[in-house]
Amino acid sequence: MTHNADIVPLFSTGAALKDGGLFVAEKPGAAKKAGRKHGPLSLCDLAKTEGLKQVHVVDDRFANFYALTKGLKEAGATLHFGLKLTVCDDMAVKDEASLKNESKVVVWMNGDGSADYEAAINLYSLAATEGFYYVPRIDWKTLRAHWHSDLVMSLPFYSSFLARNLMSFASIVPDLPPGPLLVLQEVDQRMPYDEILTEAVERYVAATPSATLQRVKSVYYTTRQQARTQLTWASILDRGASWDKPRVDGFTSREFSWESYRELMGLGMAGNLSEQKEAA
Amino acid sequence: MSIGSDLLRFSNRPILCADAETQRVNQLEDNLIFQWSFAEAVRGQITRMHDHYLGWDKGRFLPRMSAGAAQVTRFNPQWIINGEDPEHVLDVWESHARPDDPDGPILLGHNFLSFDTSLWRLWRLELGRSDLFPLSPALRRRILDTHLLARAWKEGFKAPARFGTDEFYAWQLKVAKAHRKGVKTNLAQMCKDLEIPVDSTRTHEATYDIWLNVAVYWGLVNKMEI
Repeated sequence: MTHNADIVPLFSTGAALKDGGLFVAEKPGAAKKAGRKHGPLSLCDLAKTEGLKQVHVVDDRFANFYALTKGLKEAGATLHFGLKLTVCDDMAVKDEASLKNESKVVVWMNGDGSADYEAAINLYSLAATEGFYYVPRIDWKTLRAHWHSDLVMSLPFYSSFLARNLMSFASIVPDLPPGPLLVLQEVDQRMPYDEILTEAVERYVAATPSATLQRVKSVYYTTRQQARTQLTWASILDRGASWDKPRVDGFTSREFSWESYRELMGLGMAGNLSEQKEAA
Repeated sequence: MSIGSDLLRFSNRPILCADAETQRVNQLEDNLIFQWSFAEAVRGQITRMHDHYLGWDKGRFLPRMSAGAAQVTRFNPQWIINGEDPEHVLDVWESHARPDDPDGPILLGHNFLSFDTSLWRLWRLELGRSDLFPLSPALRRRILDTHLLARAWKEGFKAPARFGTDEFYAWQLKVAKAHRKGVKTNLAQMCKDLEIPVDSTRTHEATYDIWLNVAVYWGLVNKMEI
């Protein structure tokens, strides 16, 4: 990913479980061929029907990477994959106190060959083996040491050190790898604290020469109605939760949807979205 | 102006202390307020109490009332059947709360920031009004959550700025994430800790809970530098 003047939709698949979206990575036409009318939508089908040429996906693991690369190519689109990594102060320290200063980064593969993929896989492997503590984790020192010039660093809006330092008692002093930094600013997601977070992000970019603001919209599901599916899924994954009492803090928005993105871009509702709404 | 004179314990700014009873705990959708109660107060003294049941379409509302919420609130369907027009109650509330006025009253409640604002928002959306989120400066700088204040008091978290600023709002968000097992901050516990006498035969009444909430607020602001 490189800076884009438009608002870039960032998709997320179900690979990341409750931290991810509802999309799957089936190749285009697979659901139709199987006669399946309901169920999660493939990103490859969405790309084909919407005529998307560039599809940005953020996931916290490579589980769907290969299927997406192949399936999106078949759909006439190019995959831009961003690996969402958890970063901590010191990956050798594995205790409850170390959780306080965790934050996330998104590492984009930006090369033409395979060097960027190998570098990203290396980072993930280190996080998932040496750094693992509840989740794959890497520390700033290791991230810098294994950085590659074909990777692009970005800060996700709701989970970067900026958000954590602003809205939790974290006290994160990042040691970012050299090179350009994209600071992702979510647009029109209607979370209660969006304004103060936007101000914090803009202040940081203004004060950081290497940083560029990139407007994005995370898309976890297709229509606004499917926000309830996302919440139900998150509740199922938390075995003690229910629709009446979901234990997902702050799940208030229905705007992490492709429908919302289309409206934001003045595109109206696509025919297939209307069908999905009616089916729901 | 002397040092400390800007503390809330010296402020004559009007307070609205509100509490909602709802169909469930879900903040996304499928959750309507059926009882909205609020007190007008100044410096810990209640001057007026409002208590409203909302008369939603019973055919839509009653089947969606969760069993858990019905049990906890001792729900009576007659409240809905004989309730007031939800539009009217929202107008009454907002004529007092003045969501667009940065000089409006302090909006107070136990879990008000974490829960009641979301339900207020759903109430507005259900009636076709504009979204409360993201919270405007006029609104977010006036919200004070006594549940979070209580946690801050017990854990020794110091506010970095005075109430009425974005820094104070962000600090409340930090406190919300700092839950620690074993640290009890519900209204009943706070009354015990602040030595507020409680009539246990009345604790299920919404207006009595608000009375206790205001008392807890007053107890806390007299112990904290906010």
